Order: sequence, then C-alpha cells, then structure tokens
Amino acid sequence: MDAPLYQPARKFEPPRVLSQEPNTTTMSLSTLVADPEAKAILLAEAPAMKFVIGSEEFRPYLDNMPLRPLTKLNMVQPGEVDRVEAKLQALSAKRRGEK
Amino acid sequence: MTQDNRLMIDRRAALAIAGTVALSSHAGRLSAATASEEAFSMGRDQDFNHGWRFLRSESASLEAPALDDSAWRILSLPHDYSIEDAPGEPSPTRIGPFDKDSPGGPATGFTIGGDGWYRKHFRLPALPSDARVEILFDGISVTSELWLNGHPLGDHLHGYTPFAFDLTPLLNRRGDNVIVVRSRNMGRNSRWYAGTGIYRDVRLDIIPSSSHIARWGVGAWTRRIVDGRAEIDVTTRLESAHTDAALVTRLLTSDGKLAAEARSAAGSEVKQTLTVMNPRLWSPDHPELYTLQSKLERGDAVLDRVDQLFGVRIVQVDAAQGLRINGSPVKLRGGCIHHDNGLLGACAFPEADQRRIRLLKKRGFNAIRSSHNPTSATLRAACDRYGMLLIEESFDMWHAAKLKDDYSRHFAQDWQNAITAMVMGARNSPSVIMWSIGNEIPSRSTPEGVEWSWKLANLVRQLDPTRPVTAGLNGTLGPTVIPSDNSARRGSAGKLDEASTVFLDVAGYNYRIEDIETDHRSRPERIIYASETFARDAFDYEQLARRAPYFLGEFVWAAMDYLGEAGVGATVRVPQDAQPTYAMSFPWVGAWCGDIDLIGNQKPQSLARDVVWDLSPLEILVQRPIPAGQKELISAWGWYDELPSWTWPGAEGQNMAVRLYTSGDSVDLLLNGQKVGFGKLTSADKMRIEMLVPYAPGKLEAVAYKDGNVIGRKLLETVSAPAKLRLTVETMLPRRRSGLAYVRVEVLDAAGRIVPEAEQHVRLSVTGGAELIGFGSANPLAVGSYRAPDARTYRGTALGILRANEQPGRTRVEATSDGLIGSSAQIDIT
Repeated sequence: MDAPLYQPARKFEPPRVLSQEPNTTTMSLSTLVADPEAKAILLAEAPAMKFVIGSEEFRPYLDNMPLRPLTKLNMVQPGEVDRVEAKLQALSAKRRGEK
Repeated sequence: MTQDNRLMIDRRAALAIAGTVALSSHAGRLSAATASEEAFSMGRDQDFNHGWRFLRSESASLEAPALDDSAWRILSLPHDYSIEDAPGEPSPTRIGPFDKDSPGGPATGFTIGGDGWYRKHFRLPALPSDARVEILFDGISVTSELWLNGHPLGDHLHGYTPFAFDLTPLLNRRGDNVIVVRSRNMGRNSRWYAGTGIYRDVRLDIIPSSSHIARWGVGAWTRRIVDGRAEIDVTTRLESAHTDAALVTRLLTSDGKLAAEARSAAGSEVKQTLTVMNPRLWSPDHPELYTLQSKLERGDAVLDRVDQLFGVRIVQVDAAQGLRINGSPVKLRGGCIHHDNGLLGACAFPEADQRRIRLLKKRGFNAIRSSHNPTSATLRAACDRYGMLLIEESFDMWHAAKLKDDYSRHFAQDWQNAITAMVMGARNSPSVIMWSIGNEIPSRSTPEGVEWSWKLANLVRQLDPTRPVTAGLNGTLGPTVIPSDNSARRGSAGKLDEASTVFLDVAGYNYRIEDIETDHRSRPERIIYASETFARDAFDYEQLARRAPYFLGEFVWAAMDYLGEAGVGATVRVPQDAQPTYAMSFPWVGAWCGDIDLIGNQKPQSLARDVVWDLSPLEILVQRPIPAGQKELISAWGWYDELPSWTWPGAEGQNMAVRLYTSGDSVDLLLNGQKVGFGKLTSADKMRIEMLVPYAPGKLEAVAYKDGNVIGRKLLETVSAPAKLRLTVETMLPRRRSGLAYVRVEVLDAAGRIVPEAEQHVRLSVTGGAELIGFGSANPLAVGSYRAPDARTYRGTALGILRANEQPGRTRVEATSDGLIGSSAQIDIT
C-alpha cells in the first residue's frame, strides 16, 4: 500500500461563485440581511432576530450561520423559520418571474 | 508584541495586580539573585524548567540584568499563574482563582490573566567556543516578550505554538546570564480558559554552530508498506554542515535494536530512505513506537543528534472506504478537548496529559481534536504512546475577530509562523492524522475568507503533504463555488463545491448531523466527519458511522470538562412558564459539558456512551426530582440531571424517572426484589428506556436481555451517611524531578459505598518527597482554591495532585475530615 500525498496547488485564483437564492438553510444571516427584502421578511416573521443581527456578541457568527440551525439553540422557533422560508421562496419565485 | 498591545492595560487587571507592583518595588532594594548551579553541556533536550523566579506584575520593564529579583518566588515550570488564587482578598466574588470581575468573564471561567515576569539566572562555563545555545519554549500563554542579558530576543504572539531563540550572540560565556520572559494575557482574548505564563516545557539545545541539524529539520513519513517491509522517506535539513560530515539516520526498536539505517554525505538537505523488514505497525490498538535517530557525524565524533518517537503507519482516507490505517478501516470515536489539565490549569505535565489520554482511551475514544489550538509536546507524546489519533488545530479565528482582543489582531502578520510551528513541530508524530486550519472561522465563506483558506491549506501542504487538511465548520458552508485548475486541491478542479470546503481535503461538520447524508448526495466525493457533536446525538452518529463509508466518525463536544465557557453544558431548573433560554454567570466557572468531569469521573453522558459504543450492556441513571411548578432546561451541550444513584432522601413515595441505557432488547427493573418495571426496546428507542418507579430506599436492580438471554445486570443501593474517607493512589511518583502522582479522595458510608452527593470538607497533608500542587473537585462552580490543602468534595469525590521534589522520595498522604474516619496512603516511586 502507498501513502497518499496532498500536494500544494500552483497559485490562488478566486473560485467562481454561483448565485444563491435567499433561504433559511444554506444562506448565512449576514448575506440574508444584506438583501433588504429578505431582511424585511425575517424581521416580520421572527422579530426576536432583530436582537441577534444587531448584537455585537453574535456578529462574528452571522457569516456562518443560517436561520434554521438557530432553532437548535432555542434562538428562534421552528414555526417562525417555516414562515420565513415560505416567504423567501415566494420572493425568489417573484424575482425569477421578473427576470 | 505590537505597539498597540504594549500600551493596552486592562483597568481591572491593573487593579488586581497592584499589590505585586508594590512587591516589585520592594524587591528592587534587595541583593541580586545568583545564577543556578545547574550543569549544562553539549547536547540537545536539556531540562531548563527549574530555578525560575516569578513576579506577577504589570511593571513595564523588569528585564534589566542588574535588577534585584532575589525576593521573587522561585518555581519550576510548567507554571500557570491564572490557576493560582486571584490577587486580592477572598470574598464572595473572589474565590480561589476566580474573580467575578475578570476581564475574560464566563469565557475564561472568570480567571485572571494580566502580566507576569519570569527570570532565570544561569551559567554556561566551559562550553566550546563553537557552541550554539538555543532555547525552545513549547508554549507561553498568551503573548510573550523575551530578553537575554537585557537585550531583546523577540516576542511571540500565538500562545499555543512552540518557538526557539538562538541565545549565542548575546550569551555571556564566562559569567552570569539572565533570561527574562514577560507573559501577558490581556482583555477579552479567548473563548475558553487559556491560562497565563510559561505553561509548557522549556528545553536548552547546545549544539555546534559550525554544523548541526536545523530546528525541526527532520521530517519522516511512511511512504509504502508492501510484502512485509516498510519504506520510510526521511528528509533532513542541515545548517552549516561540514562537507566531510555524514548524516546517519537509524530506526531503533523500543528495546534499542537497529531496525533500519541510512548513511549519506552531509548537505543542506539530505533525502534518505529507510527500509524496515517486518515492521511493527503503529495503530490505535497497537501503538508500536520506534526511535528515529538522526546523527550528524564527522569521523568518530558525533556533532549533533536528534532522537524522536516515530510510528510506521499509513493513513488513507477517501469517500469510498473512509479512514483506513495500515489498510484496516477505522471509525473515529472522537472527542474535542481544550488544553487545560483541570485543577492544574494550563500546565502541561507529561503525567497529566498521559492521564487524560488514558482516561479517554478507557472510555473507548480513539481520537481527539485539539480544539482549537496546537497541542503541547507532552500531549502529543501521550497520543503517540497510547494510540490516540489526533487532529491538530491551529486557529479559532483568522482575520475577523470573535473577541475584541483575540489573535485576529496578529493573524495577518503571524499566520505563517503559527502554521509552520504547528506542522513542523508535530509532523513526525504518528498520532497526527489531519491538520485543521481553523474552527468555526468567522467570515470564512467571504471572498477574503476563501483566499485565507487557500493560503493556510496550501502552506500546510507545502510543509507536510502527507496529511489531509481539514477545518471545523458550523452553520452554512457558504455559496456554491467552482475552483480553477491552478488553485484546486487534487482532483477538484472545475467541480462544484462550497466556499467553506473548496480547499479542504476533509470537511469537519460541527453540529450538522442532518446535513451529512443530504450533502453526500450532492457532493459524493466529499469526505466528512463530525468535528463537534452534542452528546445527546451519540446513538445517531454511531448508526451513521456504521452505514456511511464516507463518514469518518464524530468528535463530541467535549470529551472532558474544562475551565471556561462557564455553564455551557448546564442543566437548570426554571419555572414552568419560563422562556427556553438562559445564560450562566458567576459562580459558574466550568463548562460542564464533558463526558468526563474535571477530575476524571464519568458523567451520565459517558455512561450512556459506554452503551452506545458497546463498552457496557446496561447502565441505570435516575433523574433528580424536579419540584412541582418547575421544569428542567438542558443546554444543547448538556444532559439530564441524572445520577447512577438510588439515594434520594426526602423523595420517599415520589415517582422517580429511571432511565435504562442498554444494548439489549428488553429489561426488567426490580426494587427490593420486587419487579417494578419491564420494557421492550426497539431501534426507535435508541438504546434508552424510561420507567417511573415510586422511590423507596433499598436496592434498585436492572437486568437486560437480548434474545431472551441475560446480557447485563446493574444494581444501585441506597447508601447511608458519610462515615469515612478513602484515599486511592492512582499512579506512583515517577523517579524524576517534577513528576506527578494522583490521589483520589472518596467519601464513603459505613458500609464502604461512595456517598454519591457528599460535599465534605477534606484536608490533605503530605510528607516526604513530594508536594501538593493541586486539590479540588469537579464542581463547575467557584467553591475554593485549587492550590490549598483544603477542598470540598463534589458528588463524593475529590482529587489531589502531587509533584515530586528535587529529590523524589516515598511520600505519605493523609486525608482528614471532621466527624469522619480519615485515610492515609503511601506513594512509592516507580
């Protein structure tokens, strides 16, 4: 048997980034709230998130954290997340239609 | 040390150490300390841990050679002044090392950092003129500045990486030398207990200037194992090597026999291959170790020599077959650990690190993740020795801060130093299976974060291309991306990936069990392990590991309790109508989320894991009664408030929730010989069944069956009042200065049974060849000093830690407690 090797790459080139529709499972909160319409949906359906997205303590985590996993930490209720998700999907559908 | 950091004086820390400033002023009037009489000679790896003088002081300049330090405390390393009692008078908000006003707050367990000064006087007479003297620090927390004979040597910014200085140019070869270290731990810089000071080993290497092996200059890896032989490639960097010198590299068995040898002419970089016939392979179950010996020779003279442990093993990992060691599949039964050694704080004693690894091996763990920093050499050596796989982790943040004073301030200038030290210092340890470039890194999926990810991963691969690169990833993996041919890791160019994983060989998922199989369907080549998990999910991870080859296994958060992140695993009682959130505060100082507690006892989640991991067929745990009108809130990292106890005074007649954890398919429950419960388990029960039993003192017995056969019995008995103490010596005292021995204290009833919730004040006295350096319990609240001879047991136990004196000798320990029969034990030298 031969040991594997993990050779370094030649040089850095930014990877091509595919566009992402707003959602509660894979989009980070920081990306979500950078979209004014998505942010409005979030705050309408889960008003307690205003504290989270405005909190200095949580700021470092917003880049990595979508909305839905916060249900595990009791920071948002599953029903609220479901409503946000439904409205975000409608928003995306509307935007696709506009295109 | 940056200018910004030099100027930053935390106001509360300044107040706390005001007393030591006064002491410093006083010391200046006394006569100068003299150099130690330690004898140093040519050679590497010389103990430089003794005879240091220490002062906790925020004075800006105590490095002058003529400074009178004779009144400073003399101590031996490792040393962590954050685990010593906090400066100032004890009070309800200042208990032992804990202070409610600590700058680090709950994150660091309310401990105090601040400034500390270390000075060591030494002489190096009669060294050859060609001698080069290097000092190696395995780690100083959090940042440090160093001087020799009043001249700056430099500074160090990463509190967990080793570093060395060449003392030669500033050395006084004929007279006294004084090396000075200032350690600093300021503001809010860590999310857990970091400790402060020279908390790891210090070594002196005295080698020829003209020809020697470079620092961390030997890199060896097993390239091939085939037909009963192993081929090991060794690359050795030499500095200023004589052209007529030779490099002789040998592999020696544990009993000193030659297993392989290669001899080459010296050069700046020498590549050799060792061929070992019938190698003894290293694995978690059989951690066979060799000594890799590198000798630089010139004629009959040995100019330099480096010895290090080495294991012959090949680690392979792919999505089709998972992790294999020497061709055999291995699932990771892992745990995350922080670096502290409980009552000893951050101090990295070999015996303390060995004990941690032994405790975890005994509970079925075969892997640890050193969250979120590189390990000490002593912990790594323990992993090598006991067969514990290790993920070495470098950072908890990169360029974006988690806390205002954290390492992100230094990251851009220091990341290469940190990665280099981590990889080069540990690359020959067989236990290290992956390099982690970070944990839950903020902004890692942004364009800037993705570029940092590439830089870090690529530097690791340049330094050590023999191990995969990983990271611990929470939340979302970020947008979908496609890497170019130039920047992609092997085989991934042009393929869909995510921003957080695109440059990783293996993806670590933190708390994302529901995503693992979903992600596998869209990214079938991704190799995944769970880099952090909740203890409550142990059964689900075990099942996933059995059915999914691409899933390597899990790392529970946390394998052992640690100081800091106060109360993150707490279980509390709140009114029925209370919101399901809470935050713990002082006097909580411990995390309380470990399978194993701070002093090494199994907690309920560990007993449950024993069943899931097939170490035990049956365990019984009983829920502590919840008062009417209240409910139990369990943190995501926590567990039911349950105990393996049938001693619940005051609960007579009350229905008790008895949880049975079993690998059986049915279970009987008997109280005082009468059957009070029967249950059948299906896979949906996840090895746990709960029964309500009216409490009556006596014997509660469970019997587990599988296919009609008894597979396990467990008995809990109601115990009576505390009557006596029992001292148990865990390990004898090593025959070396500063070796540790551990003594367990238990509170027993008259029948000799541990009283499960006894909180008894106990005093330890020690005579002979050792001193008591730690005494306390697993209580996650601030209840006292860890340095005093008095402590209060928690859940019936406490732990004493003894350190051998300069002349280790037979030692006697006595434990006393008012109203109880005391106990004594003799500790011999091994």
